[in-house]
Amino acid sequence: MGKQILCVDDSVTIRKLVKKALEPEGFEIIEAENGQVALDQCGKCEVSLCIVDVNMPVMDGFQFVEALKQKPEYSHIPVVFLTTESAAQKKQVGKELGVNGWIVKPFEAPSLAKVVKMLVKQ
Amino acid sequence: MEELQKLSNAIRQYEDGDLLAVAEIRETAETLQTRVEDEQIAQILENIVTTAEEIVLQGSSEENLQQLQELGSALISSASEEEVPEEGQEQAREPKKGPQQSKEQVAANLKEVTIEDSEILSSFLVEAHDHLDDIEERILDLEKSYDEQTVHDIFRSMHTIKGVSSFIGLSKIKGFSHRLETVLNSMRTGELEIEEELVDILLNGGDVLQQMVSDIEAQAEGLDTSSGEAVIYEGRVDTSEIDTRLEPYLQKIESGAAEEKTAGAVEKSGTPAAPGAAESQVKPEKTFAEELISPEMIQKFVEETSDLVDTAEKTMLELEKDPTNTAGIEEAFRAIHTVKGNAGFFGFAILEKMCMGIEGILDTLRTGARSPDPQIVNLLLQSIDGLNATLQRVHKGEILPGELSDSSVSAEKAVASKEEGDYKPLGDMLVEMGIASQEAVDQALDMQRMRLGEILIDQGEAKQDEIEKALEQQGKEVPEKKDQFASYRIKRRDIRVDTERLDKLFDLMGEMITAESMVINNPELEPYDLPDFERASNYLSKISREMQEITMSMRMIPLEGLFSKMRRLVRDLSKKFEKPINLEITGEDTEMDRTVMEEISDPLVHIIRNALDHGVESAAKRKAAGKPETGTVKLSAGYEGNEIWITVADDGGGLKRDALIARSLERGLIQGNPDEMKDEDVWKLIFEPGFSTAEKVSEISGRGVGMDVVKKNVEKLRGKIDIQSVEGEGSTFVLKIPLTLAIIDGITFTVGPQLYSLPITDVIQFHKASEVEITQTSTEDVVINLRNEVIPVVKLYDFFQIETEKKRVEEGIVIVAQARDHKLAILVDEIIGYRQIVIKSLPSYMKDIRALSGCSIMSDGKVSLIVDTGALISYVLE
Repeated sequence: MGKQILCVDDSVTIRKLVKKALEPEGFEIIEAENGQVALDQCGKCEVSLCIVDVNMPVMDGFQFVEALKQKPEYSHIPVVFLTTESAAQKKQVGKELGVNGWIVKPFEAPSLAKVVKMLVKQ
Repeated sequence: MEELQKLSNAIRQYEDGDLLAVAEIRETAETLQTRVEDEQIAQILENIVTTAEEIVLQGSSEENLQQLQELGSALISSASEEEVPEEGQEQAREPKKGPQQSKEQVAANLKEVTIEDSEILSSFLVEAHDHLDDIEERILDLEKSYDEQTVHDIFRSMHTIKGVSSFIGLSKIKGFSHRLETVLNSMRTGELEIEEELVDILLNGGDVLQQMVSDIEAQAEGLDTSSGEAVIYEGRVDTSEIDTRLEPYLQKIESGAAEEKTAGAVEKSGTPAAPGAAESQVKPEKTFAEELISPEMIQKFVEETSDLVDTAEKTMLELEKDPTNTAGIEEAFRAIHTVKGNAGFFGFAILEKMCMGIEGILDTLRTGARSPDPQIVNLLLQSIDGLNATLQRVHKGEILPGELSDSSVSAEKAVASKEEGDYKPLGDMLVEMGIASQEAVDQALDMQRMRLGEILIDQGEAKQDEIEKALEQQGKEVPEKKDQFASYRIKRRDIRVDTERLDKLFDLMGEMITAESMVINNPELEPYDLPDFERASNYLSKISREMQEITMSMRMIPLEGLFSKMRRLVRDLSKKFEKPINLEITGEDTEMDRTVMEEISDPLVHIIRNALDHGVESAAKRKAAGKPETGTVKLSAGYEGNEIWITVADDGGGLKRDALIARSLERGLIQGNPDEMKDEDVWKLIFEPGFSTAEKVSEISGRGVGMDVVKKNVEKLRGKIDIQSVEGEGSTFVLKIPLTLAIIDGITFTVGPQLYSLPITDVIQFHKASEVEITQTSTEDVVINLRNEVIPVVKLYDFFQIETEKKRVEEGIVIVAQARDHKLAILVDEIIGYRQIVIKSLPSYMKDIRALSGCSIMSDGKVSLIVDTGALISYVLE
């Protein structure tokens, strides 16, 4: 079984896209539709990377990362924001929260795979 | 060579955090590394790879970012001597262009879109339809009433559509939804007012988007990409009409953004001594006070202030017409005084300062120290314009609330605002023009008994004509802005209605329900079969029910205000008790009748105080018990059936059964065997008068008064308190308050000639007692045995001293009612039936009658008295 990657996005389409981009590369994709669900998933799986949308209902990307980084057992997990938000201020917020970086939508499957492979050594 | 140049460019353009870019850089460097012959360049490329990896894996720092930049430039300088072989690497390195870009068909409006995966497309279509349905519904809600959350939800849905469509290459849908999203975002931030046209555009825009999606859907049907790519066409739906209508709004937003940028730039280049609005916005750490001030509160402040300033302005205008009409001066003074106080609280120092000046002048008029001559009225009116102008800027968010007390900052802010060409107080103007010294003005301001200009003349600091010149200048200073202000209206979503009028409406609504019932249940109609009348009366009932709901809702306000008061309370108490406590609030948007909320405030404060004092343990104790040192108190609210539940839950030590029982025995509060008591009954002991378990009496809680008062207050609202508690884990108090007070479902019955009603929630069953079930326990007392339960009987005719023929229990009907966990069998003559009854308060001469909570007028015009079950039970048990 490949490394597990948690994809947090309220859009099922985006989650499918991420899945299609990464599964051929040997990663296993775990889906969550919002931050809350994602946090629950973290407890159940061995997550190597979180790919997180910013705008989500219930618990948004920022809140999720904040919660994630507060838990010592998860704080090491690298986090990538997958977002259309390009405002510098938001990026700054993300950086302060300790995310590794962001990928601006739309992305191409090979580029995403590249980024993921760089962050998760198989 | 060319590739190295490109790589170097990519590095130069790299924006911190852009993972796609850094991944691209890393890969390009790695590929090139294998091909370059120059060792030096190869080394640089290798360094680029490691630095890029470091940036991604360990996070970017100033050092590694700078290093990357240096490596990028080094690449160029080294490469200028070296040639790199070019073998069609273009394709490998160049990011693959999206098909939508390469196959753009400009000729027709049609655009070819290559679909690589039909599964993804259909997933998008389903999702887009869902979102659009959602959007439509929410926009309709928005039309009815504004709600920030709704706008936010619409925005998010639109955002998702935009994001996903951009992936698939549906650039027309993306572009169109992007424009709608832009407008929504500005609505969300308050930049754009929500107006009819805008809502209309959004609705129609949603329709057009829906058409676009449906168009794609029709084409996608049967599309199979399993064998490769497929092509569909976009752009068959015309968006131009909506686009044209959107244009003015988009322009407005753009110009707003541009303005903000320039303002920000000016701010930054300005002197550090003038911290303006923009700067405080960036400030990451909010003080507690700032946290308290929500945008809604500022909005309310602006609305209220606007009203108050209008009041003052009206007075001034009346004074101008008729200088003898001094009646309103007092009111104007009070209005400005209130504005001053509020502005001070919110930290709008400039407003506060302006009000102080106006207030001073008004005070001299009020006390008669000066007469309201036209000049002074004119000055006041100008000052009021200035106030309005500043208020407008607050409304637009240009002036943000500052610190609550830091006067130096406030003063600086005032100066900063003034420098931006704001209204200038006369005193400042005089100083600036070099007519009077700052000290002289300050001194004069201190006196503020006379008009400033005249004081200065009196003191020989300035001459009459100079003052007049300054006054003239003051008037002229902001001519353009003044026009702007004149047309300025604060658009509001509410109107102010005197609560008395609202109460009157409420009363009338009650009367109307009574009147309606009189018509529909009119005894004169009884003998006839009237199907048409029945239909009409059903229709009437439906409408009056709706009207009743709306009337009720008008008195409802969200719990937000009350809950934020609790935030403050918890903060203060947490400091006082030296217990770190985290208050979690949910459901603050739950709405509650205003009068009920006023009643609930004290009990809630009491319960929260208790939770902090007795509930949550000290940090040391918590640590020893293996709990997090910071205690948590959860305050939440929500609707449960016909009630509002307000829950206060702490994760403290919980109630201690043994301690409660011991204390109660000590005080003689328990009859019977305490071991047999259920936990919930034990918890309820804390509501007994004179009960206190606190080991040490603290300043605020634990004086033995309190919980019984809390209970009484809640019961006054016909509410209940439930307690759940687990020792060591915490306790939960639930206040259950009925939604409406004035109209209840009731059971109406007769005793002799008199009508009585009981709230249906109190009634358990009706029973026609037979002789065997009845036991006479003494000459007066009777009990009834129902399903092995012995229930005391109260003969209502006896209790209320009414003549009736049905004096024996088996002759009448017994209503078994429950309140305060006791059951009571109430003997009545006859049950009339179930009604919606409108509770009216008892006339004052009947107030002394025991166990009545109100009265109600029945459909035949008779009055029914509403029995207070709880009070009746306590009388009987005594």
